[in-house]
Amino acid sequence: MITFSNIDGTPVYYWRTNRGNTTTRNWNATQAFYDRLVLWIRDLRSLSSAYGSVSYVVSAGFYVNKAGQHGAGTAMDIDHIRWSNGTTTSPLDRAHASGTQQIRRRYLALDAVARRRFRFVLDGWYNAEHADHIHADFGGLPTTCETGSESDTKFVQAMCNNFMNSGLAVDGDWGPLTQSAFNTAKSRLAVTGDPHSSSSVWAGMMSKVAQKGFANQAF
Amino acid sequence: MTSSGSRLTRRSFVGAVAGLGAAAATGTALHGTASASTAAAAPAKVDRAVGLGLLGGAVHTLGRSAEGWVLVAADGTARATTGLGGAEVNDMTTAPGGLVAVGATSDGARSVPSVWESVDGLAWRRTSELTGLDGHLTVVGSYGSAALAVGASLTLERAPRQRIVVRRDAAGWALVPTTGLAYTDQWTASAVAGGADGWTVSTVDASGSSVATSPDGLDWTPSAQLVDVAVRSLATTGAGIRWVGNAMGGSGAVTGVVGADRRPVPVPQEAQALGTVGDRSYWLVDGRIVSATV
Ligand SMILES: [Zn+2]
Repeated sequence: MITFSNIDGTPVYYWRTNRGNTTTRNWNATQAFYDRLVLWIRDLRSLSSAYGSVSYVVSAGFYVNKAGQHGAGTAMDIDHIRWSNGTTTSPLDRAHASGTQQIRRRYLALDAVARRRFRFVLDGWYNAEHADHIHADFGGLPTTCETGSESDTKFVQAMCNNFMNSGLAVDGDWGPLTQSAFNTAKSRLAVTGDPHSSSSVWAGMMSKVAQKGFANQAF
Repeated sequence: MTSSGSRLTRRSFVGAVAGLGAAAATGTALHGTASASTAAAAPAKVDRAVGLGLLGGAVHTLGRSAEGWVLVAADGTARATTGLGGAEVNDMTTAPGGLVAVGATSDGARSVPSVWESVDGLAWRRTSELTGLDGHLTVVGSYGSAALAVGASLTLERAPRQRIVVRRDAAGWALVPTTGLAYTDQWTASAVAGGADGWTVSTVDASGSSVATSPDGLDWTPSAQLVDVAVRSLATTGAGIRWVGNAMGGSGAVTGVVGADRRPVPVPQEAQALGTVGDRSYWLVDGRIVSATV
């Protein structure tokens, strides 16, 4: 395991004991996971460049001394992101459940960026435990969209609702209505290929969703 | 070691166990084929260590090396084990008749919560498996003749779905129904301890640890919330419930008493709490075990 206080130069803070705290923290993760975090934050910078640079990330933990991916040093909990133009997105403040569509779309954009690099991404729609952070880990790779995954299905349902007003129940059940809305989304985003079997197709689709989300544009 | 532009300051977990030379560092010290009874004590690289158990009064932990699970003594010497194979082992403790370990064995895409027991810490035998459940046991504690293991069923994405409690009594291990723990269903159990007054369990969510107590392991009452710590050891002392663990904002070594202040434990920054025996806490540091008074 390695120790880091920033990801590719962007500081990572901890707010669970003191909101707004900018004390340097010594986080731990495996080298391989850290390397993936670098790819993730470079994606994030590139897809959200209209906001300026990423000023900081706030996390609830990487290596955490418990069983599972956190205990192996291969997981991240995202609480908050701030950009240099003052824009923020705050899973910690349950942005996925905000009454403002623009805030929900920005959360979905962050969610989508994580899904480019991590297969198991657990968000506010997934379950109560993840209502206040987005979890991403090394499980289940490579990254594709699986209709049998509650996490992927709820994300797709929330995405279709927030960008296309699909009116789907966010229940994690990939039925005909979800399939139809997903087909429409693929078509409107000009996605060719199969996001269920091709990681590059799914990652490309997530980039397009992220761009729409950061720009607050429907599709 | 570092990515350009980042300021990585330390690599841990890659060193050999205490006092090791080149032989261990190149991975030649241990052979998975060695039988438990004849395996010589030898140093080994471990990337993970779980639990603490007493053998002949001496503290040991289970370490995961490239060759599989090894029994590691406090001086760093390690011996190959049999019976654990490639299992996910999450905790180990002393129990009447030897040691008990908990975790899961893989069954295709699923994992079966499992319990193993051993007289000597080297030869392990699976004594319970919860077939039909997809999940894992993450902690085990014992007191007197009883033992209690806590875990969770898991989602496809391996997130905790529902609490599992397994209790050992004279008849053996059995899944037991519980009340009062449902609020912890989606959290990971990280410590359990038994005492004269019953059982104490700690579970970890994104913010910290939640402690609950039970007279019998069946009916539970929430006791305390500890922000910014993953508790790995609980003990009932005259001063109250003492805990030991790692911070979550960073991972510093910390200890405290529920309801009172916490303090850092004087071990290296990357030390990972393994547990406590009596008044000493044990930590994995750079592949080595170190201890401190708590
Ligand atoms: Zn997490």
